[in-house]
Amino acid sequence: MGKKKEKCRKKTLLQKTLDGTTPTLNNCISQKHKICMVSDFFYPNMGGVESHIYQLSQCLIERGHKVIIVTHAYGNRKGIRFLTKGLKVYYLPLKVMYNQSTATTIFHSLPLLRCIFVRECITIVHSHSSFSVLAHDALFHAKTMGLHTVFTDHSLFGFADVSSVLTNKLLTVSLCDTNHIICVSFTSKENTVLRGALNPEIVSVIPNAVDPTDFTPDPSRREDGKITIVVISRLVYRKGIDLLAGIIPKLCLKHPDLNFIIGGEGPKRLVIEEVREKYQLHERVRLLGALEHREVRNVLVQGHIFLNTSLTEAFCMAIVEGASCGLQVVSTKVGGIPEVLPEDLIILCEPTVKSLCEGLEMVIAKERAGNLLSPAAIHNRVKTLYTWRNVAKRTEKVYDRVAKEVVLTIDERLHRLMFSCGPVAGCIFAFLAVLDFLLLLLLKWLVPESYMDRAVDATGPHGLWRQWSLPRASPNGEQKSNYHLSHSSVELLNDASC
Amino acid sequence: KCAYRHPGVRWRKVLYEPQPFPDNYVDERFLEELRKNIYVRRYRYWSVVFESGLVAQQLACVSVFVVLWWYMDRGLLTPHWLFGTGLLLSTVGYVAYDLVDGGLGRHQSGRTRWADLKSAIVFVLFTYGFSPLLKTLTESISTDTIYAMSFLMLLAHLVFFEYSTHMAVASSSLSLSVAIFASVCLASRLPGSLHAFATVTCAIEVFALWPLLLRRLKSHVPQGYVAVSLLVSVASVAVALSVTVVGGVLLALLLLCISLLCPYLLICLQLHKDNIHGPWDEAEITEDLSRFLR
Amino acid sequence: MVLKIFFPQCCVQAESGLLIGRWLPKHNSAVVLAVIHFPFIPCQVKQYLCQLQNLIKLELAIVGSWSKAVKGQEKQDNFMEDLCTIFPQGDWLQMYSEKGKRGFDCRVIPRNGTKTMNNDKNVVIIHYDQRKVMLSQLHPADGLVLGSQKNVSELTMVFQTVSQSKELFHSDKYDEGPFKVTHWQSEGREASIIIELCKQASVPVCFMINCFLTVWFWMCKSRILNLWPARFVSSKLSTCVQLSHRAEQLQIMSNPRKTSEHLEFMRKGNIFLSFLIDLALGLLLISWLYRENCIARLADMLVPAADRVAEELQQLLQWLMGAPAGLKMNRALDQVLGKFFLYHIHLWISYIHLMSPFIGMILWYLGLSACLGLTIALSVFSDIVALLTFHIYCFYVYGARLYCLKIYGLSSLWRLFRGKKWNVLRQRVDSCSYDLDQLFIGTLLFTILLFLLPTTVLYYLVFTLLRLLVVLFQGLFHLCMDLINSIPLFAMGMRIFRPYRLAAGVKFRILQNDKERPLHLLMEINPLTFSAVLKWYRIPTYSCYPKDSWGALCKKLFIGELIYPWKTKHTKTD
Repeated sequence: MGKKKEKCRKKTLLQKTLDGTTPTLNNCISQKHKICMVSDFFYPNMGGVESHIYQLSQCLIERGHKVIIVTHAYGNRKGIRFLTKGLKVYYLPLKVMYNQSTATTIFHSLPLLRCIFVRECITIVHSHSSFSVLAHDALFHAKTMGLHTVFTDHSLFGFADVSSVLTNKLLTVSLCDTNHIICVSFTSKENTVLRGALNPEIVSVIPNAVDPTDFTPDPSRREDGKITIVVISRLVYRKGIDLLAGIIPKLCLKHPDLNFIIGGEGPKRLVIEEVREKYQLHERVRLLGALEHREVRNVLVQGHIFLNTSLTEAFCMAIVEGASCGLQVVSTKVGGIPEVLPEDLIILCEPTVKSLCEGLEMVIAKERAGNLLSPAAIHNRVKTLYTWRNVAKRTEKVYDRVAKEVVLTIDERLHRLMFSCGPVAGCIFAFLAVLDFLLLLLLKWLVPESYMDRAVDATGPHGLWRQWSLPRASPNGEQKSNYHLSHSSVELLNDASC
Repeated sequence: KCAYRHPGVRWRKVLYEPQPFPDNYVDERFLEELRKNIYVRRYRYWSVVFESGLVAQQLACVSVFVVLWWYMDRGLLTPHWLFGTGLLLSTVGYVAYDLVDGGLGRHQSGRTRWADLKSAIVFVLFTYGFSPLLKTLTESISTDTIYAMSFLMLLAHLVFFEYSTHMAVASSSLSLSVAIFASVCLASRLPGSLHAFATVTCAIEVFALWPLLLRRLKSHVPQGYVAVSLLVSVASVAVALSVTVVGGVLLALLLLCISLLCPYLLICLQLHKDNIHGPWDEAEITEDLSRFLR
Repeated sequence: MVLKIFFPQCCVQAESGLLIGRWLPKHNSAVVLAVIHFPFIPCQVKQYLCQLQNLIKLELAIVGSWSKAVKGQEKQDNFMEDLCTIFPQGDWLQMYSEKGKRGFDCRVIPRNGTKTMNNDKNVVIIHYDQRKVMLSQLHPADGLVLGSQKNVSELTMVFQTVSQSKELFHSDKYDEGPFKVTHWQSEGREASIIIELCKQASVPVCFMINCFLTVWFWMCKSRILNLWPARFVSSKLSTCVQLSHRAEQLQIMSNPRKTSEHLEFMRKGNIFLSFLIDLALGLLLISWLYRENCIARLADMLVPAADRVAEELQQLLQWLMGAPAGLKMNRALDQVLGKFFLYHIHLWISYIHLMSPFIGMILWYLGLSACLGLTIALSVFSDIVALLTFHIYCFYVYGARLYCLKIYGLSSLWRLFRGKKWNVLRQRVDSCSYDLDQLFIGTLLFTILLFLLPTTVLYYLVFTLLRLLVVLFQGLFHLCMDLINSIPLFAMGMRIFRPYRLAAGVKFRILQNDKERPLHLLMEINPLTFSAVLKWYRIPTYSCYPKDSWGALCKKLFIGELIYPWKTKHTKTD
């Protein structure tokens, strides 16, 4: 099928050239890449970064690229797994240090990553999240190996405290020789450019997306005669749960028909529980605890209003999900949130209890008067805004651009490190880069690349996944899976003695 | 800066509508929301001095307590005298405590005088009952260890003391506990059980009751507070001088440094602040949200 | 789908005829059990099949035909095909061997359709040894129970089919039946006079043992023995526990009912052998003990040894009451504790001396218990050790209780010290603002407890170490007992001498892999590994090893919880 399509495309290309139009090769047949996504955060961990990586990979596979994912082992989940459409995931045996981030010595992951990059013939290494140590490690080694590198930043950092000064320095070092950086919002871009002291031209803005089919409205699930506010977020300080704890009693005392549903888990759950106990709101404030991704929609559709109280946010997926389910969104005006939804779908408030309460009360009054947009209308507006296909298309452009660039040679890289990252950190990391290079030479001598066999492609232009899966579906193929005798060590010995 | 120009179309900082610009487009308005030093606070010197006085005050209290213990250890002060004076001063303080705000605080907290009396009796009885035990408690432990421990504990008291209500590390109960621990350690070094009793009661007065009175004075009668703190500081320096001259001078310097020099430095260094702010900053919660919980 | 035909090896040489077997439609395979030879009357065959089905309770069927290449019988093919219309049950297998070729061919004729499906690739013929498969018991992989009906695998079904058809194999070559049948058959049983005699004797012996046991259990249940102290003591004495365990085993063994289930049969065999070994070792011990008057020498040694231990303890306490290892202890508390323990030792020594004249006699009588088995003797010895070191146990309990209280108090006061408290309802530490007087008294107590802690810890530590020593000693005995009690000797023997009886699985060997003919595989039985034998057939014993791991033990020691050697208290589970 893929070949057929290609043929078709070639035909049209031919026709076009005959017609006299001269499309550049790049625009028409975009080159196929072999991409390795690297991050510490992947399934079974759940969150924004995780779903971003997964969905983006799926859409890139759909567009004919080869994609693999590298992450660290999660408990029993180690080794190689295949996900939908032949997405290959490496769960590497690295020690987890803190918050699902691996510990690093910078060098120990080189042999493993080199093995993967060589075996899979990777051309572009795409790292995700600045919190992920593995992602930075992979960038570092990929540059040493002369691969193209792309980095996606999902979070915002301040500049004020000691810890952010240090992490920003590391980010500067890590990004100064990275080919391209992707941010999820314009605010995030500004932040990353400042933190990494980067040329803004190599930073692209590609927003996250939401699968609109997963988040469809269902007004029948709403409780009649009540107004329900839904909050879905991790219950941590950065999500402004303290503000929420202030809003709940204030509004609940004023509006007896107001209910809260709070999904998520975290250290700040105590605060909410204490408020609930103190004001005896057990029936009106439901704490659902940690939610699985597939449960989120069922919780969202029970509400009228989606409340987000984050104190900082690069791109808030939650509000898009909420709006996609037809809820009126009320959110704090922080980070990239104002860029995400059009003004008529979101009420932006200052991050104070007072302002949020005012915003909520305005919405409540509208809801009572029936002046709010219908859930279906909101859904229809939102569903075209952010799609993964669009994200993949735009990311592909970044890859095309990166593939044309020249990777810095070691001396250029050292120069870049020494002169753009400050005298101390620059020297240290230049030294580390030299060590990494020497280690790579040693590895090349120990295990030459020509000795390493190449992995069979599951995805990409020569992907075998489709060829495998086709006969599997036919009844004839079933015999293969069925014909194994369970609980016996089936040894087929090849001698024909009767 | 950028070659892409689309006549009539202006770049907007939004993600929800497709724009005819490439993803890595940089507009002129890039970073226009960048601000510098927007949260710099202008301090007035004397108000900072007024607030920092509490730190000096607590330091003075600790040194007074240590000097009193030293007097007892040397036999220059009889336990009867210390206990009697302490009792007298606490009674005076107790009356002053109610007079300062005209009984308003008592009315609000709803605490009866009988409860106060009961607490006082509990203090005295328990301390008196345990004092023989306290005396023998640390016999086998070397004096240096005890001194080191007491020093660390008193330091911890100063660190954790609740100088103002919005402090991250402050814990009033922890600071009081370590102070009592230190006083018990020191008391166990004294020659008699009556000495131990007097020292521990003195510690309660200095570390638990005096800050209460001082805080109320500060909020209601600022002039009185200034006068009293000056008095205590001078007294502490005076008693310290009577023990060692070097110690007294050092203490006086330290007190001056904390209450006059540090505020000055704070104000000077404010000028060198260089802070970047923008929409990416984590919003701060400025309201006091704890009122919803209490 | 590939059709798998399990074919008995003994039938390869059989004359032409019909194949009796069973279809396993779920797994798309057939198990051939026997071949009925020509000539026969179809009606009689059907009758015979019905009888068999009633007998062995399996859905047997004529699964196909078998033709052997003999000269001048080439015309039979059509006749064989016609047979399938006579026995219309499921698909029809047509197997025929050709002259001069190894192996044989197979054709499958589907039930509803005349088209012959002669795709050789779709048939795999698996040869099996009928006798071995019949006798062997297949053990499912981890996590499954033997003989459970859920999720029965294909292989299990095959094994079950063959082993349940035992009745089919009873008829032998010389039986005058309506027709000839080929399958595995035994070469006749060897009658041994000893075995016959044992069989005859076993019934009255079992009956006698049963009578004796009834009396024994009746005695045990009598009211006097069930009073609180008696029951408590007997549950703590390992002798009593071991005796009752043996009695229960005896009861299982002497059950006169015939065992049908495999597991039960194995259990009886295991218990019987462990009994025999135990008794033999016990008699060996007795012969050694009573031959050279070892008992008297032992008794002479025992009292001085106990005296010696008490003296050593006294010295240890004296040392603790000074400044042991230069540690800074609270003098007053140290003295109090030391004197308390010294008084205990004094009591103990006088008790030992009171007992000393009788010890020799007691030992002589107790030694006789070895004739009940080595395990009983060992448990008696373990009990004696426990009784002789009772003072150590007491010290340990005092020390641990004191320590536990202190740790508990310190931990809660430490929370108070930090301005926190334990919230019982939420099972977590909350912050709490204490009153001045609460804080003051709490801190005072905290200080006092903290400074007294080293003294208590030292006493606790010393006595815990002593206790652990005793426990280790007793533990060795219990380990020996448990070994004798639990090793499944019968199963082990079976594994060594008849490995195929206990199967862990099978392996296949390729016999023939021709392009045009079906694949021929030979199924061989994989014997159970020894560790798996232990896992499956270990005799359950009463002595539960300490369930907590080393980490849990250390934690228990740290918080001062009492540790017991082998008995773990059943924790309440809500």
